[in-house]
Amino acid sequence: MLAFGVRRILWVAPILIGVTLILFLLLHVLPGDQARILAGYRQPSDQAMINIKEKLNTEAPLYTQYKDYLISLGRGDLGTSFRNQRPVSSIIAESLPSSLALASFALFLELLIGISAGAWAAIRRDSFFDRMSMVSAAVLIAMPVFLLGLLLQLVFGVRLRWLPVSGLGDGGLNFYILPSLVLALVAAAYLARVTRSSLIDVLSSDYVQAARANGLSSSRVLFVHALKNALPPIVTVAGLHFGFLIGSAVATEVVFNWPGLGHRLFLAVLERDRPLIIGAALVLSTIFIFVNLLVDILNAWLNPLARVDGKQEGLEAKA
Amino acid sequence: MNKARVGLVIISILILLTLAAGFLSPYDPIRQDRESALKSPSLRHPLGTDSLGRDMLARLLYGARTSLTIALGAVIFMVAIGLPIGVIAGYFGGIVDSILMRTADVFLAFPFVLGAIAVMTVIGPGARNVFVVLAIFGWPQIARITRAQVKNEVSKDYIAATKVVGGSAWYILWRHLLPNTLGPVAVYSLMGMGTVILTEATLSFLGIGVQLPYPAWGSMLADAVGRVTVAPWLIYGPGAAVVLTCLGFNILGEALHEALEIKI
Repeated sequence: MLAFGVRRILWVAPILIGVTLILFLLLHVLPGDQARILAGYRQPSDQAMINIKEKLNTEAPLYTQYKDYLISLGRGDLGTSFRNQRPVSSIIAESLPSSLALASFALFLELLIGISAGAWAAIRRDSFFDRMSMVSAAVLIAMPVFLLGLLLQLVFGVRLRWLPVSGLGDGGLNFYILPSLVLALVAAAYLARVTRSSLIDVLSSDYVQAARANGLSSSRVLFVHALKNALPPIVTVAGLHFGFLIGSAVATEVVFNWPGLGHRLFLAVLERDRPLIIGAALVLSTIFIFVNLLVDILNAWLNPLARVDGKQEGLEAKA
Repeated sequence: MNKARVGLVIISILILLTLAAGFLSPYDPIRQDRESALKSPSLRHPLGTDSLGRDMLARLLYGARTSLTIALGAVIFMVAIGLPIGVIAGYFGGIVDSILMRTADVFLAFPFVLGAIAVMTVIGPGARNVFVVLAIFGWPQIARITRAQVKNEVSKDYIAATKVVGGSAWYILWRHLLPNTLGPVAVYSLMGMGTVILTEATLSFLGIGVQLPYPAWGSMLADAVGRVTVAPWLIYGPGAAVVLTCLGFNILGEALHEALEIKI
C-alpha cells in the first residue's frame, strides 16, 4: 500500500511539469500581443513597447523564461491581471472560497442523490422507480448544465417563488440550494448509473448469495458486504467527473450570478485577461490532479487488487 | 435493438430538419428586427423571437447545422490524432508507449471546459477554433481506447503467426490492427458526439464558441440568462434541441456498445 502510494505520488510530478509547460506556452506564445494589451488601447509608442517587452523579459530564451515562470510559481506569484493590475493570486484567493463552498455543498448532494438513487434502483431492479431514475439519468446526462440551471430558475424561482435565483445574497443557505442542486444533479446522474450497475454485479455474486443463505439480514448484506465492494467503480467515476464538475461550475456560476472563481473566469474571458485565465486554469487543474491522486489511493485502499496491478492497470480500468 | 432504433430515428429527423432549414422557416436567422423583439410564440413565429427580434425557429434550425458540423468535424479531428497515436503506443510499447501515454495524461489533467477556455483565449474565439480545442483535449481518450484494443490484439496468435511468416510491422498495423480497432473507436466516437455537442454548447454559451450573429444553440441559451422571467420561450426550443440531439447520439452509441459487447 505504501509503495503504491509513493509511486502514485511520484507520478504526479511529470504531469504537473507538462501542465505548467502547456500553460507557460499559452501565456507566452504571443508576447507581442501581450505587450500590446498591457500598453492599453491607445496606439503605443515604440519606446513604450520596448519598455514593456523588457519588463516581460520576452527577449530571453524560452527555457530561461520557463525557469523564471516556475520560480515565480514557487513563490506563489501567478502574474498580474491585465485589467486592474492586481496580482492574479489574490484575485483567485478572494473568489475561490465561495466556489469551494458551492462545490462542497454540491458534492454532498451528488453523493447523497446519486448513490441512494442508484442503490435503490439496483435493489428494486426493473421496478417503476428503476426505469424512471434511469430515464431521468439519461436525460440529465444529455442536458447542458446551464440549461438545467435556467429551467430550475424558471420553476422554483419564478413560477413557485420558493428560492432566490441569483447571487449569494446574505450568504444564507437558501441561496445555495438551486446552484448546488444544478451542479449535483448532472453528476449524480452518472453516479446513479455506475452505482446501479456495480451493485447489481455485486448482489449477484456468490459471496452475497452465501451471506444471504447463512441467514444474514438483507440490510446487513447490503450495507456491510455489498455496498463496500461496489464502491471502487463509484469512487473512480466520482473522481473522474470532478473535472466535469469544475467545467460545469463555470456555467452554473454564470447562470446564477454566483460570486465565485467560475464567474470571475467568465468575466476574464470577456476582458481577454490572459494571465488571470491561465492562473485560474493552473490552480483548478492542480486541484483536479490531486483529487485524482486521492481517488486512486482511496481505491487502492478499498481494493487491494488495484495495488498489485500497479498504476498502469489502474489507469486502463479508468479509460 | 429497440434503443438503437430510437437513437437512429432522432438523429435522422435532426439531419432532415437541418437540411430542410430554409424550407421550414422563411426567416433569415441573422437579420434583426427590433420591432418584434421578445415576441412570445405565435403563428408567425412558432417558437417566438429573441431579444434582437430574430426568429427562434430559424435560428434553431440553422443552429443545428452549426452544432452538427462542429461535432462531426471535431470527432473526426480527434480520431485522426488519437487513432494513430494509440496504435503506435500499443504496438511498439516500451519507451514510445510511455512518452505518448504520459503526454495524453497531461492533456487529461485539464478539466475539459477549462482547458478549452484557456486555449481559446489565446487562439481566439470562433467556430473553427472550437474544432481545434475539442480535438486538442479529446484525442487522449481515443488514443487510450485504441491503445488498449491494440495491446489486446497484439498478444493474439495470428499476429505472432504473421510475424513468423515475415509480415512487416507496417503490414500488421495496417491490415490487422487498424481494422480490428476501428469498431470500438467508432462506437466510442458516436458516444463522444454527445459530449462534444454539450461542450460546444457550453463554449458558445460562455461567448467563446460560435460567434454572434451566427446561430448556435449555446449562444441562443445565453440570450435567456436574466430573461427567463419575461421570456421563458427562449429556453424551450434550443434546450429541447440540445437534449434530444445528445440523447439520440448517446442512446445509439450505448445500443451499439451493448450489441457489439465492446469493453471500453
